[in-house]
Amino acid sequence: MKKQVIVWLKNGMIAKMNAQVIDANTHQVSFPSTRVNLPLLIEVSHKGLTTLLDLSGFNDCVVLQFGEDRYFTGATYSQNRNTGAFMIQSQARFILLMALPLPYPLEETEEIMIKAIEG
Amino acid sequence: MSAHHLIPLSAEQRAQGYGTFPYVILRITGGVYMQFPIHFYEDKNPEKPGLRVRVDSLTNEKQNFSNLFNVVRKFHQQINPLDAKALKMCLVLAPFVAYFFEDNAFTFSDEIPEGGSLIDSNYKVLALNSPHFVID
Repeated sequence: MKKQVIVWLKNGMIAKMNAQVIDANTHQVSFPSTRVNLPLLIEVSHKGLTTLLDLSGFNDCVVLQFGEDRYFTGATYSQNRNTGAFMIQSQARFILLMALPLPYPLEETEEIMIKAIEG
Repeated sequence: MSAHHLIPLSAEQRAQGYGTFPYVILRITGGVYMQFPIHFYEDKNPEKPGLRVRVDSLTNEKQNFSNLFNVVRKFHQQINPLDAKALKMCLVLAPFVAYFFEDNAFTFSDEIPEGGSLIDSNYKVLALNSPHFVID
């Protein structure tokens, strides 16, 4: 399933994309394969405090994290891992994985809006 | 399409920065695209065609792309004044990463412009029916 994701920036601009969506209903998220396309939105539906993302072997990306109120809480870069495991633990409720390089200053990120794709 | 209809970017054009990521594509009309190479530099302004982005350090890629964003945004405002017909502009960052600029938004696409007539800012043909980039 895909949804339209809009990232609001502090300077008033917006970044729009159609993102593949994964529902995190358990504390650990593993991706079905390395062929998951970016951008990827993870919506956390479990009630736990943290979610463990297994990004081992995944495409290079920036992991944008947003709280329950959908405001930006932080980011992690995931780059250049050819071997070995790589996981990150996050308290975010909405996690957006975007392809690198990011086209705008990371610190400009403010808020995320998620909409169903019509049609 | 037969091979003789393809005219790829030449080595001379590549030396000027054409065909190297990142770059900006301006859609002039259907099938006609103008490419602007992007040059990052620290001290000496490179005398090459395209957009030039001054940075503190060429090795700080993340910061450099932040600077790039502001340059491209200003360029978009410059080529699309309020009273003019808007030209579609695309910042191409990688073979599967592009952002199309609008007034106050930019939209991600995993398909980048390709083919058609690729020209430089002097309307000189760079390539025909070929990819707009070259990977060594």
